[in-house]
Amino acid sequence: MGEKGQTALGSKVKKMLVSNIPVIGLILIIVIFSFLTDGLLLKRNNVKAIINQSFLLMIACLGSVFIFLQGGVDLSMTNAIGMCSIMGAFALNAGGLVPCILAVIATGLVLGSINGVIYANTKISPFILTLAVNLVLDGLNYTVTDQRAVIPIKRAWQKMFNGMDVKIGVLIVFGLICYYLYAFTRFGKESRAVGAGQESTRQSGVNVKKVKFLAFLFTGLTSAVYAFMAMMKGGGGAPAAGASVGFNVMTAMILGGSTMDGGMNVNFKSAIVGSLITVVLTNGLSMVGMTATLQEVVRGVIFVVVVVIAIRARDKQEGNRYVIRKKKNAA
Amino acid sequence: MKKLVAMVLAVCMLLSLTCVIGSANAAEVKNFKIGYLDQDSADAGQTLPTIDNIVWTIEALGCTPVGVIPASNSPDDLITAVENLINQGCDAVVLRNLIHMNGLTATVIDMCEEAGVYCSFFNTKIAEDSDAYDAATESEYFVSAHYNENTEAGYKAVEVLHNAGVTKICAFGQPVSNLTGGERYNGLVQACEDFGVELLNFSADTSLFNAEGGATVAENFLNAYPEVEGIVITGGVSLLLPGYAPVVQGTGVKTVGIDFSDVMGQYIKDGTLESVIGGHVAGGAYAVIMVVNELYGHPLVDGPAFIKDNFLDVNPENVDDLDICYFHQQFYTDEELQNCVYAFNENASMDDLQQLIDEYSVSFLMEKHQ
Repeated sequence: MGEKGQTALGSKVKKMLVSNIPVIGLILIIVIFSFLTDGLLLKRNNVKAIINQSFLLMIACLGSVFIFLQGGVDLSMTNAIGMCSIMGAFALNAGGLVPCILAVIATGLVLGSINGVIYANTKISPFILTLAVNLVLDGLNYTVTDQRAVIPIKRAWQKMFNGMDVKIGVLIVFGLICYYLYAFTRFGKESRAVGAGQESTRQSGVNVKKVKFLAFLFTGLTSAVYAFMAMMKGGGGAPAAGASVGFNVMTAMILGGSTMDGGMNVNFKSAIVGSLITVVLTNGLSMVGMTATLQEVVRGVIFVVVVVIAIRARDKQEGNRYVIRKKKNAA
Repeated sequence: MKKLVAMVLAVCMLLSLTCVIGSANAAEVKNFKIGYLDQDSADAGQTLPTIDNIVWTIEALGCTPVGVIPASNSPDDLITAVENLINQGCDAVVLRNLIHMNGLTATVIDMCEEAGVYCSFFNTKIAEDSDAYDAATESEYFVSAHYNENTEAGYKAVEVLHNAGVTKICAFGQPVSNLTGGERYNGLVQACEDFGVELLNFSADTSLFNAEGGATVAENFLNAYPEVEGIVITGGVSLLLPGYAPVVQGTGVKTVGIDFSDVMGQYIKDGTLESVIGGHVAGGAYAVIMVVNELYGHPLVDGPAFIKDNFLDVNPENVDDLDICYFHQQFYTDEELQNCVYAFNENASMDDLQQLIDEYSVSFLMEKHQ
């Protein structure tokens, strides 16, 4: 192979490594904690626990991809999930499974629509909008439950829907739907375009308002799915069912390799990889006996390091693209 | 020669018999791993003594304590914490009322059943007509639930105020919809009826469970009800008291609180607080004794146990004693704890543990420190 061929291969390998830093990071974390926990991390029961602890976060991240593609974030998921689970629990206790599913989905879609309408028709940033909505929902959740921590459901329902097979099944189906929307539909492509440049997307004939609205509608639906599974996992609807989800999704997506800029800087696999990194890290730190507060310190430090590396890698790639464009123009 | 051999054989037989008898009096002490939910910032009035005494009891029984702090009090994080305890190889777990208050008792019992890990709960009253009760009675791995009769605490609080000459009260605390808060409220209402005390207002706002909130609660009651003579704080005294007490001090309004606080002593001595009912923190230690006996294959009770614990009652006469016998103190000696466990006492029975439970009082705790 000539020098040019070797350089091309080398840069391909480098590009592949750079684009898979999160996956490499995940493997490293698994290896390190397997060593530190004398192999307990990868024991069957703990792997089951990791799946149990990560599947809800994965659902939330998968459904949030579209809002991330547009350069946004939905912090109101934290309490939207709570509201959906509360409504679901009331409906399940009053009427059974079908009313429960309808109530959960309706609540999620209504809350998503409210966010979507405001986001699509105002210049308010999704961060501020969803922060405000989250605050409103926090108060509403505890008002609706009369400050109860939980609205319990019958154990029989929990046994029906809390099995590992159901969880994995729901995750796979939801993941496939999200991937299909992301990769094969106009909605996915237009979300990326809006994230890359709203004005230019609008000028090329895309109904930007509709795309923005749909992204939030989808996170509303995601909140509903999350809430239903959380209700079955926890044995009831709870205002705190979605505690810190908004922030955890943001962290997971960034750890998984996406950035807050939207467009080409967000990729689908970051939802899965980022969720696993978050959960395996927490699980591993807990297994080695680190307190919850120290765990937050460690997670914060890792978060900052990952963001710096990701931004530098992205800037370098952008710089290379600029040089190539300049050379082409000169030629 | 024959006589000599016979004597030697007799001595050998005697020695071996002695060894057998000796070993029958003490089973081998095993180092089980006992898990519990820890807390980052534990208040010195209630949570810290609870956790400390769990750890000391586990260690006194020759076992290893394993603590996990939940990331938050959300149902998902509590389940994760229990999962992590199980996956760290715990043979048994003792779990506090956070699990029950979040409706997770049945879920956790099922998790423990699946993992083959024994579980006990404390500060947890399981109602007979509940899924949690069904799970407890159906599971081989549920050992015990230790509870305090919160209706009695609410009742006692009003009784103390009535005895101090109070006829009109306000009350603040956990919402009635909360398991513990509801029981204390019911007890309070019953006592008001029985003693002819008028309940002017009951309010519950969890966002006020902090020092600033305590001041707000006091100001609101004093301003809205100038005729109020007494106030009952039905929970969270440790959080409210630092802000509450300075507002009420010197007004002549008498206060009784439920749940201990490490700063309550000064307010009891200066008359701001008539009494505080709480100190119900030994249940964790009892739960440890129950599970350890279960692990040795000699349970103190056949089948699931639901055991009532005692509150402590603090007033101006005994408040100084708490600094000696309660805060940062191990309530029971190692010998008292070991006496309740098969490995140390093969005749250990529920009577031994019940004696420890019945004796739990300020005077009992003080005896050990004299």
